[in-house]
Amino acid sequence: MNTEFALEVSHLTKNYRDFSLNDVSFSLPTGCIMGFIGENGAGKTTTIRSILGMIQKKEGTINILGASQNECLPKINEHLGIVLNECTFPETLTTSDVSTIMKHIYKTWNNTSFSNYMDRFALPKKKKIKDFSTGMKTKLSIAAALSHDSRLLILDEATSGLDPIAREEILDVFLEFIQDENHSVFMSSHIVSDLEKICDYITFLHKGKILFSESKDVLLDSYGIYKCSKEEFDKLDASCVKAIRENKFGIEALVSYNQVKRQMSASSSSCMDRASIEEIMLMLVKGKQCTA
Amino acid sequence: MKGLIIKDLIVLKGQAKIPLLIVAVYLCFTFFSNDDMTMYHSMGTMIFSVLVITALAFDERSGWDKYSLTMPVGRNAQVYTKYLLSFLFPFIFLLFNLVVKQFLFHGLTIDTAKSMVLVTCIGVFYIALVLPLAFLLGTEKSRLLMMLIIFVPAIAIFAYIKLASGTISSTAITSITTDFTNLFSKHFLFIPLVAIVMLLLSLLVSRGIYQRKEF
Repeated sequence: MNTEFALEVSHLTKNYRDFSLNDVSFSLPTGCIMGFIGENGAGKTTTIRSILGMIQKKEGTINILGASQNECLPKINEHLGIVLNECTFPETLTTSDVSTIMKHIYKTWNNTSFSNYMDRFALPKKKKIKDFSTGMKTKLSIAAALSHDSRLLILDEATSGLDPIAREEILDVFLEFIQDENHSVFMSSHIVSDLEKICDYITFLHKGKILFSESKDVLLDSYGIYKCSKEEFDKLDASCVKAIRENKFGIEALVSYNQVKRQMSASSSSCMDRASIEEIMLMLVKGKQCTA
Repeated sequence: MKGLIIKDLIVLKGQAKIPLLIVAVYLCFTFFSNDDMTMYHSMGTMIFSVLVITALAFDERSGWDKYSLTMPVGRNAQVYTKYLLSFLFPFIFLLFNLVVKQFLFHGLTIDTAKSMVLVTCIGVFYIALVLPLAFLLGTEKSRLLMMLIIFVPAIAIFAYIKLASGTISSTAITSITTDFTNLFSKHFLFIPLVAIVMLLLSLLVSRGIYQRKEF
């Protein structure tokens, strides 16, 4: 099942009364981690639910591990590890019960692997899930997602409820998982710093539309935050400005880093830094977009 | 599907302790007080028939219903599991009671067996009605709707009899009851058949609902 892309979403459209996913397209190359970012209500969970067949899309095609979603679900689920934004095991179960159930659901269920994750995450085997903390529940879901032949891990806000130490621990697990070049991860999160740490690609969804889906390195190389006065800003070539925010000290602009670097004079009082993913996201959402 | 059945059984194991205790107490009470198992069997059938709705409620509350869609089992398996259990629980309870009646009580008569089968069929009818509603509206709303479906006509009939007590004679009521009893006796074999057909039709409806359901 070696394919160029672990996940391909093309022209995905889904309409609700008050919200639409509009022509969403992106591709996750096999062996990579893609971060899926966007503000609350941008459509991240709707996109993930469409991918997993929980909701019916209006238009578009989705390929998972090289096969069309329409034809491969639910068979392909044997190779998907899913962590939703809540612990979805009934609370009266223990982790031993989870293992008993899952080994009858997944042909490739690996009890040893699950047990190892239980030890690694220090999860009790006899305690009921209702007595688990949020972090423990998330770890249990991740352990279950990784204890069968998962080749694509899909996580919906999985790390959002965790403290920084637990998040670091989980990110390490993802990095280990990705050591196998046939494995891929698609994760949505609000915590952009986490994504910046481990992702190869970033896809940014805003109000149901993809604003960009790009290699993280390309994004970090391409964009800069240019701080200048109004006069200096007017001298800039408009084509290199993506978005601006005005404040009482002047203008902050998201710009094409290399283009602006060439235009900046040595005597200029303006300054420019590389833009972080979070800054790019904020400028594109909160700033005034420039289309020139 | 085996995994889904095991999951439901594990979940219900924790929930069934009190209902099982109630059934056991009722059985003891019936054993020591009189020979009539009708009340005990009716109550037990009701408890075992709604167990599957409890399993469904647990699925909804935990989000297991949508999580299970990400497993290699398919949507139909979710529906089949619930129907299989909803049939098995009252059926096993019926077999158990028939054996108990034969060996622990004073023997099993044809009439007692018939009335016990009839009660089980009523449990199956109930499940056949409530499961599609539960898949469509969720367990809470479907429970409420079922209560309305059952209690409103019952209250209406009761109220009618009370209000019309002066105009309907007790002989007429006895006559209607006897007619119904005779009808059931005459066509008794059809009742389990109708129950099974209803359950199968209900399964088809639920499958259709679940295929289109969005999570």
